Amino acid sequence: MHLRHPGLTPAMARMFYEAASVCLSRHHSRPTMIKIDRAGTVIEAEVDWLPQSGQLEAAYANTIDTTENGAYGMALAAAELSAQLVAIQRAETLSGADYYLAPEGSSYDDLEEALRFEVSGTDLGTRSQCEGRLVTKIEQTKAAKHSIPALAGVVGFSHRLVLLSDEIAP
Amino acid sequence: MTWSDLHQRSAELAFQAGQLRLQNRRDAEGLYAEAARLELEALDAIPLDKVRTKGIVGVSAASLLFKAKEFRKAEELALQLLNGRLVEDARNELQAVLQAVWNEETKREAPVQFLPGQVIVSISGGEVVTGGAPLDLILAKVQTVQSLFIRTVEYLSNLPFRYRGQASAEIRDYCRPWLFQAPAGSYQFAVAVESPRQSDMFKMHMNPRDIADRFMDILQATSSGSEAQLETLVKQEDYREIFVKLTRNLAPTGKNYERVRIYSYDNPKEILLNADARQYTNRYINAVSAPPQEATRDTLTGVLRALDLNRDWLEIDVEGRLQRIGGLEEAIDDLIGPLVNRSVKVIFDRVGRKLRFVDIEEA
Repeated sequence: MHLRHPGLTPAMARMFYEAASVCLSRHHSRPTMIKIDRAGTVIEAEVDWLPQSGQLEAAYANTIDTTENGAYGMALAAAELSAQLVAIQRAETLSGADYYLAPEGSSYDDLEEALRFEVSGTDLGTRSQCEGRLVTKIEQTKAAKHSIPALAGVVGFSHRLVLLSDEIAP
Repeated sequence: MTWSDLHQRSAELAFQAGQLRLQNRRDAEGLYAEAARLELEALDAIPLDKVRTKGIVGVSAASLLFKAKEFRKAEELALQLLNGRLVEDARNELQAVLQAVWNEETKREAPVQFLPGQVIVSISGGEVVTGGAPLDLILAKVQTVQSLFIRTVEYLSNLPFRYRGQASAEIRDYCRPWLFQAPAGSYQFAVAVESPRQSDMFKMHMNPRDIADRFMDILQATSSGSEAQLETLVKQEDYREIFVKLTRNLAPTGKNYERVRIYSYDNPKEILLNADARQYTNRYINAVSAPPQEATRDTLTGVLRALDLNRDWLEIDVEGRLQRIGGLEEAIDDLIGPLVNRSVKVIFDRVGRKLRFVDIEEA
């Protein structure tokens, strides 16, 4: 993934992949099909992951952090597949870090046209809970009155679902 | 090297440092410092006309300096950048860095010592405006956050569950939560924990430096819908229930505020509470308090007017008529106390003519 997403280092991509593998293994046999719904346009994609192992589960024992990191991996892959957007940079903030997206093949010499990516994940959430989360993310992004456009994504692991918003204008 | 190469290397180190922080390890500062050094080099190499890029990388550099505990450098950089051309996001973020630095300096100069880290509670939407909110709303939320902190300390200290009265003086003095102002973005306040004065008192059970992290872990588990995670974190059912109920008291009812965000400057976890959080917490509470066979479950909505925990009853005013509900032995002071004179929904079991209390929440 880091070869296609210049904003990911091999370590970041590996961690997202391993976390997503643990989350998917909790509910599904590999490989499986997932739905990617980008503002109403739905595509299906096959997803495969690392086989379940005690070592992996022990390394990712914290369900909440694992779900968040796995969600980042799934959402970035979904953004690439459905909107041809890739992570071009990761930038630190006071309370965490943001990832910035741009169209595949675009220069990443600056962030002048990049989109900030807001991601949330849920292990057991139903489709309506995922939709509720996406609405909350969009509202939160609008309420924050950012001057940088954003894209929001929600991943529901048990439901095999990735929801992506349209671009949220500043 | 281009700014992008320098930034990429910095991001890699910051990511590694963040991984250490996720494991609640506190040896990440060196990595953050090196990441900040590279980010400052990257910032210098960005052309002046790339205003948005400069803002994002500037915020990143100032945040990294803060996380490396190089507060003076973080302050200088933030002030320098705020003097220049910036997009609004970067301006807001840099003001947040400044406020966080000033809070750390205030903590350092205070006559008491504080544990590392602070938790920021941000309330937004509805009646809440930037930097201002109704006093009664904020007082109730501050009280709930304090109760959550004290319950966390009690749980980590392996103390038996407390149904009545305040926490013991030892617990209240041991790790006393303090309130600090936080950068105005919606209405925000910061909570820091005073260092224990008697550091050996509970050390068999708990490292006081873990309190803020465990507080965040527990809050995240109570609001995420993951019962398995909550059971792993909190072994005792009575503690699980009080944590879920207190979290519900923080979550919006959708009337006078819409969102609560709880985060920390030195912990990548973030908790978002909206009206859905109440649905989840109520599902959990209903599941653990099923009515006895002979009872019918019912609810009343009104204003909580009177409360006698010794005599085991409460009274609510339902459209001008006082209704008394008994059987409060399962009620807990720090849960029910902040709701006096507020509009509440009381759930009870009707057994014959008796009304037996089950649960109460803000309406």
